[in-house]
Amino acid sequence: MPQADGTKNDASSRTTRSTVSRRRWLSAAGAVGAVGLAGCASSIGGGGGSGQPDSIRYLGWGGNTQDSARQLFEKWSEETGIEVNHQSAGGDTEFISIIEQNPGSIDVVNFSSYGIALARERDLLAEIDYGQLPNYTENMQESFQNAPYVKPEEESDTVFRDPVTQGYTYNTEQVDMEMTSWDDIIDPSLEGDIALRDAALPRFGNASLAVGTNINEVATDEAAYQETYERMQEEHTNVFKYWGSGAQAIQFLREENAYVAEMWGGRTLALEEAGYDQMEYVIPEEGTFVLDENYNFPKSSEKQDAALDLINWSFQRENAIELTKNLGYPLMIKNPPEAITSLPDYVDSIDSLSWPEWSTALEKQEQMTRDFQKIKQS
Amino acid sequence: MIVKNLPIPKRLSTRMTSRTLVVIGLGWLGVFFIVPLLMLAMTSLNLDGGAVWENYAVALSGVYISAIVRSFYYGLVTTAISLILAYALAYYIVFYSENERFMLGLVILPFWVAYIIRYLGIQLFFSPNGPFVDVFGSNMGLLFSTEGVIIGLTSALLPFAILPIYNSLKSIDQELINASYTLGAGSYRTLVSIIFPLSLSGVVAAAIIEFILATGSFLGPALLGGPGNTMIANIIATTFRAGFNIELASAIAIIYTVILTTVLVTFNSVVNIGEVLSDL
Amino acid sequence: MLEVRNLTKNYGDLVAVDDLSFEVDEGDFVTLLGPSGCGKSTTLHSIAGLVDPTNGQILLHGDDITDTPPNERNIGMAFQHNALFPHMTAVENIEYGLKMHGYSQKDVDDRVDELLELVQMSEHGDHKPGELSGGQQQRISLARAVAYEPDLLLLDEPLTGLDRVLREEMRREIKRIQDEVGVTTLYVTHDQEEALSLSDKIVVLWNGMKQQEGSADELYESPINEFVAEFVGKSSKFTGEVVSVADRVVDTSAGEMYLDGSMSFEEGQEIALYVRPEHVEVSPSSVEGKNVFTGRARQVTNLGSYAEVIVELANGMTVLAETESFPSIQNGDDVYIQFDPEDVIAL
Repeated sequence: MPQADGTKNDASSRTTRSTVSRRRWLSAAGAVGAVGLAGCASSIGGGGGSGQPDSIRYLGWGGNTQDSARQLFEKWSEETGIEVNHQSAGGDTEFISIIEQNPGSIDVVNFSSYGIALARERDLLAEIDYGQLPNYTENMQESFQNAPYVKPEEESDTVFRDPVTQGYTYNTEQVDMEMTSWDDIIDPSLEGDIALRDAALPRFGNASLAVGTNINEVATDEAAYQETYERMQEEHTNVFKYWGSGAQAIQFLREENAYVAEMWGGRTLALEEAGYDQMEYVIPEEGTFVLDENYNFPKSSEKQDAALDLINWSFQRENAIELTKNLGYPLMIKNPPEAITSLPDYVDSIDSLSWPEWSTALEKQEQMTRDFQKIKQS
Repeated sequence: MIVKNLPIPKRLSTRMTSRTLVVIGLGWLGVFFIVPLLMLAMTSLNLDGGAVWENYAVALSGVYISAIVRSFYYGLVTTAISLILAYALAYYIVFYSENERFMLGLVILPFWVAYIIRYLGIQLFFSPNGPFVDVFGSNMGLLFSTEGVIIGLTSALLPFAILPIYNSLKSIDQELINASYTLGAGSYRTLVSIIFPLSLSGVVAAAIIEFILATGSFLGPALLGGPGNTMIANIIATTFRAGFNIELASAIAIIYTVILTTVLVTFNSVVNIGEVLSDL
Repeated sequence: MLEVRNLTKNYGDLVAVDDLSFEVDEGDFVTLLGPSGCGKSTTLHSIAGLVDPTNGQILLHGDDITDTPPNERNIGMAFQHNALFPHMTAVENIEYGLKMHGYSQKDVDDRVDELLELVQMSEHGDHKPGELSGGQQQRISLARAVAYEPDLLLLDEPLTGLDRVLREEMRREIKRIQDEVGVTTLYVTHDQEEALSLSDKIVVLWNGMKQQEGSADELYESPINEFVAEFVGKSSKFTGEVVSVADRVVDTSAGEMYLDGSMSFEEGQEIALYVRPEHVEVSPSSVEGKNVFTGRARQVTNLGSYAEVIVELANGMTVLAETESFPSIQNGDDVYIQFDPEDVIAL
């Protein structure tokens, strides 16, 4: 998710004994979400278990990604007469509290793998009968249907939509070299010209790839952790700012505060389309930390048939291609057209992406957050 | 403005006793300030086993405590610079400006623009494509640095310092200043011995407002600071949002509140705030 | 000693002081008298250096001080609302000017004691102005103004804001203190009683212009224009046409009126006549002499040492009379009034 700020992937790694109090707090946050929903409550009611509901409710991240979905879903509404109401929130943890506090209100939610991990812990997700999603199972590349975090052997609760790579974008007019690897960002000539993302886990994720390991080893192996930590310190020397939101990173690039910024591919595309041709997105040869977008269906929803129908419809080939164009991130369908393969986040194979094993990564997250803080202040 | 003969329903006017008004006021404070604060205090305690004060132990360790110290340091520096600038400006407006209303309008104007926009404005001003670099060739390290944060906080919060100082200067009787001159004092002596002491209430008010706002700033360091310039609010936000560690965030918030209160109480014992402010 | 030459002060289009000249002699008590807004306060502030004159010169001891900053003029000033520094005690207020004038700490202490005694405030030296009464504040204000022995003392309506009794008491105090200190004083007031009772010389101002300058008697007895006649002292006014210069007869609506002394009018000229109340004799029975009129007593007020009678004449005009003895006249009685031709002021 492009707007994903720290919330998304910097999953909590609180040990189990504090889970209870975190839940307690989530309840409170959910109550706030409920207020936002109150006005729509009437349109939700009456769905019932049988018959066609008047409307279903989609919970997303807001911004361009939600607008893209809205645009597409409207056509489905015209065909079926079922309205799709949209609600947005700041990220996975907020999604969780909204769903927990307002059972039955949300029918489709746009979780990332981090949110899926949290939702599974809380048993919030409905089991999917993939037989109801023929378009998805036929059109989506199988490797992505079976992405590691989806855990096809154990769970059947996730519909993968698109990957978001987190490489970097650089200003080719200001940087004299051709940048291809993570090692290029520690080049002394770039001192004070680099903005990296202000989120501990993705930062550890990318830095670990740069030194030839990965986030899962970092989470389990002390030597890998130490090596990655030192690498982050090294990268820090060129950093003038850690950005908190994608918009901020874009601004730094535009205003030339930054010649290089850690970035999502789709965002760079938008920047290029706005006339900044000199910006080039790089997926470094060592690979990148990866984010993802998915559809999930809360267990509490009473309109699952309609929700599944919507998602199945959205994976019709032409619909998937249209969504991709609006989104700027590639839906990984089979035989992708030029419109998809030309996107910066497009990868030929799922093997060039690495996902964290959330259960172990979360355990280590608090330490990562604190160590990252230490580096920032050094 | 007092509207006379406003038709107030009799039921309301008979029930609107002063006691009701107090209850409304205290109720508001209670529900929206005291209760959340208590909830925060509860959340900050580790009640799920282990040491109850565990979160405080973490909060008072290296990374967090340095951000707390930094916040108060920035708050202090911002307050000092703002008071000097605000005093000079307010002094000019009251005693020299031809068009006082216009000048005050300029002072208040920034209030119409959201903070985030003003900070972004400063960021753009000092950015490589901005006017400052155009003229001077470099931003001289005034962006994404301690200086950047101080400049941002000072400029964003300056009106809050100017207004109370303006108010206190404005309320000085011109004849007192005239008296000082005729008694043989020059401008400087008059400023030091008469004008400044008589405007102290405004200075104190400005200092308190400025210090509280500056110390608790989130956007200033977020938009104008470098990686090492994070302040308390940023640390709390990061701890909560990125780390999703609400207990630790609460503990830091409580520590900050306690220190801030202690600072104000200490200040109060030196300068009786209540007494000084009653002059305003 | 103080000489004001052609002083003019404009505020935009408004002329506050218009070509004003007067002098104050060493040791004199001179009053600028006029209604509010007549420019007297502006004049005083100009002399103190607190207002920049548009034109004209101010000389002190023959030196042109027009452009001298106020703190270098060695002038003492007491202000309308006393202008004591509220954050300082009475003593500190008095010390302020002494310190600015370079007195040593010992001299400051001695002088402060002396001054507190002079204004009878020795008990209250440690009080702040807020803890003193209006009269006490004004005493401290006076002490502060004369502390460093200024060449000139300026008093800007210092008794404003005090009640009537206190005003009279403070008026005497001002006079006493001025006598004891012997400082040349320029006093500003709109209150003619204050002016008449305090001053060696009065300068009457109106619309920023000097109307007349002279002793209290001169102004009272021989006002040179209607404004002065009406502003200084009480009087009854008649208007009429000069009938005969030779016989000095003026035809007023109340009847023919006789004047005395030389007359610089022409026959047929419209003039104003003023009679001071103490020159009007009221009697229940007919009186001999010129300028006798009949009327009815409308209001008889016993003011202790004298009585005031308002008489309505046949033509509806009212005449004010003051009698030293309490007359045997009551409201509604028919009375005769009479005044001597020599007591009629013709303008």
